[in-house]
Amino acid sequence: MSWIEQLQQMDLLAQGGFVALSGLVIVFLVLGLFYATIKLIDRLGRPKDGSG
Amino acid sequence: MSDVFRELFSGIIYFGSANGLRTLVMFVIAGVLIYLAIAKDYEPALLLPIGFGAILANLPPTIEGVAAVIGQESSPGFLKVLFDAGIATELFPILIFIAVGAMIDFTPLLKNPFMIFFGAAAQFGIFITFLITLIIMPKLGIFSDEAMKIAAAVGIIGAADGPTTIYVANHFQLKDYMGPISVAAYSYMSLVPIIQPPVIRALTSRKERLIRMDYTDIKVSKSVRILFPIVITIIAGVVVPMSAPLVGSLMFGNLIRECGVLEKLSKSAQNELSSLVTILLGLTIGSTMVGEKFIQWNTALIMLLGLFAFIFDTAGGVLFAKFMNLFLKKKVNPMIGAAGISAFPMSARVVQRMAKAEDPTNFILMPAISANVAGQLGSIVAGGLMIQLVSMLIAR
Repeated sequence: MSWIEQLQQMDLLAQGGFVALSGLVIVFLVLGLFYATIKLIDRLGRPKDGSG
Repeated sequence: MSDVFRELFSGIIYFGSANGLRTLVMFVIAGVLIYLAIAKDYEPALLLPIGFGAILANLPPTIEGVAAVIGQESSPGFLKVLFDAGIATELFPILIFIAVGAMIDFTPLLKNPFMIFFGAAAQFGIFITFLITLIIMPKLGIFSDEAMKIAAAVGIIGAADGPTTIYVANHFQLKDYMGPISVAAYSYMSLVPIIQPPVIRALTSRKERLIRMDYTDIKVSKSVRILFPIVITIIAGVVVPMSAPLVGSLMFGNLIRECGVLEKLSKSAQNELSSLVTILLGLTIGSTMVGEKFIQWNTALIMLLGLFAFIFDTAGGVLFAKFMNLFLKKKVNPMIGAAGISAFPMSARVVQRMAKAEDPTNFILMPAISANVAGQLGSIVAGGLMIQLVSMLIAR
């Protein structure tokens, strides 16, 4: 493998690492946001319906 | 005269060539898929049309090396028409998601929202496989943007979510890889009862598998069930815009189900729409399995990496549950984490079956279902995110 190809591979891995790490963190954040939303709409829905 | 006969029997003569041998291999592969569908009942609604589509696409060529069902740009065959209309436009996966949304009852998740985090943890395999595929690609002479695109589509196989996998692969215009990627996604979805138990057993002790989980039947108000799909669509659309088509269609289907005034539409989405699109999607995916492109080492590699993604998704969910148990007063059964993948409701059933095998009185189906529906959300968010992040890097 030439040094240019090695550089390309290192660059690819660095970008991939960024995607993998930020991807997993953002999935947690988005689903965490969904969690907060469910809690919120559950609280909003409760007094109106008098249930749950 | 001999030319006329040669023309007339060109299909039979074709089997004497190297391409003909490839065609025979594809017929065997298609036969295996059809056998698994009929004899083993593995995702029959999909594997059977995929198998039959593969037979059609590999029939001896009539025009310029292409089967009549595929045809040319100027005169496309019916499978090419379906591909261009339903896959290239991403229409079929979107329609499937409307149907799936109408089928899914999110109430178990709304009753136990904490389970949503297992739907996030079980996406771990997607990202780790993405990274591993990126390491392998340059060794196959695939660099840069192409490697990124392939790695993204291969990683998503781990979500055990066929439509999302097709959506991502198509978004990156990986037509040549569509066959193996789709077959891997749907095969592993149907093999959940075989793949998941050994992974779960390897990562948990018997004591952990015996953990009981309380279940209180809280009533979820109708207003919450209606607000949920609307608000989730808005949040997903704002935070991860590329996930909006998937989340939006899933949530639209769910709104039809929960609103209570569109009973007929809800039933149509669950039955007629789902069946019709499944048939067309399966046939069209099968048509991408043309021997010339399918019988390659890359196909075996994609299948292997897909399996790897699937195993690591399961492991990610289980390990996350074990990690949470370090802090939780009321421990969760770590097997629940494995249900955080998208294969609904099969994964939840597998987890319940395993809990019952250890202790026949242990009932963890409801928390497992909660994690499983969370996995549906997690996988489409991960799919949208993968498109967004990779597209962003490619555009630089």
